[in-house]
Amino acid sequence: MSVLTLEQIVQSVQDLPSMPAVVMELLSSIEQEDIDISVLAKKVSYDQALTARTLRLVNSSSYGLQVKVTTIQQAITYLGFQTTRNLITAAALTGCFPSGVCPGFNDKAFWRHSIATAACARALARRMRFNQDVAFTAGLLHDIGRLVLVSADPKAYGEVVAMRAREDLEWQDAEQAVLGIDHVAAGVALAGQWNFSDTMRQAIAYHHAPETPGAGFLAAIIHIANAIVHALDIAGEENERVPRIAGIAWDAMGLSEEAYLHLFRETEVQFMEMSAVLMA
Amino acid sequence: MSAAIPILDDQAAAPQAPVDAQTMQEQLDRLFRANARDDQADWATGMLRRYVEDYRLQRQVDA
Repeated sequence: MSVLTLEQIVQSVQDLPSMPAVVMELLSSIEQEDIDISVLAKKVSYDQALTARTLRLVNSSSYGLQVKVTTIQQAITYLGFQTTRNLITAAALTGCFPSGVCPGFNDKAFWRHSIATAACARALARRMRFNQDVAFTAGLLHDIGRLVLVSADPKAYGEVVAMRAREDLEWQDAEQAVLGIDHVAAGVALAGQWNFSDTMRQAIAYHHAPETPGAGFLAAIIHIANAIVHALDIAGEENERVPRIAGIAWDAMGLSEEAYLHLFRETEVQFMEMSAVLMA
Repeated sequence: MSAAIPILDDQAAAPQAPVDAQTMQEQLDRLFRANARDDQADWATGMLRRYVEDYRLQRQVDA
């Protein structure tokens, strides 16, 4: 067993290629209402690659705009600040981590799962009258700890991948067995390092255990969205399996079968739109 | 009163290949291999399986 300590995890987070400062600012202020939108829009537009990726998302048919948006400020005007912020975050995050560093780890499947969970969480949140933008970002980030573990020790994470396949384990169990730590703890460490809000941190911490007292409603949304995306087999992950769903989280959604069937369709359609841009 | 309604009203915009029921069942068996269908304690996972099965088979449900 190759044990990773939390200190090593935090160090590996510090060693990650840096996210654009403006994206860190967006992530840490996700629940603040009183931020200066025009200043942030200006800062984002200094990063041309990020701006281009974001505008491709904005102009994809997912958002149904009748006009072609050419600036971040215009995107904010048409879609609102929260939604634009989501898209900037998605565009930045998916290009932030190195790929191909870990034997057997399927980076593309990881991002397909994250993007689909984000789309599903947003659709669920709309039905729950919960903040859709927070749900989207939490869906995108819920498994980010796996990338932290991959970055911290790519060779050891290769053993996690192999062990999971060989013994048909959940990711958390294989991670604990090989590394002595799992992606939830690593994700929480990253959330601390990147100053995520408490709500976001809770969702990352409890998306596998929404029944934990104080886990919060967002953790339940991510728990269900995660299970749905596994069940729809969207990621194309080898050895895909649906995790056990906590009854308390399922009950908390309170949706009819008809609503779920529409949700499945919406998730698949939104995923196709977004992944075409983010994974191009 | 309940009425049968189409569950996938945007299918026309995104046509899908006909579903082979047996292949789909095998795929669901693989995906839900950690869930025993008669496990009362894991009822929520069983519900999701049933709904995904209906979705894949493009069944209609009562509103």
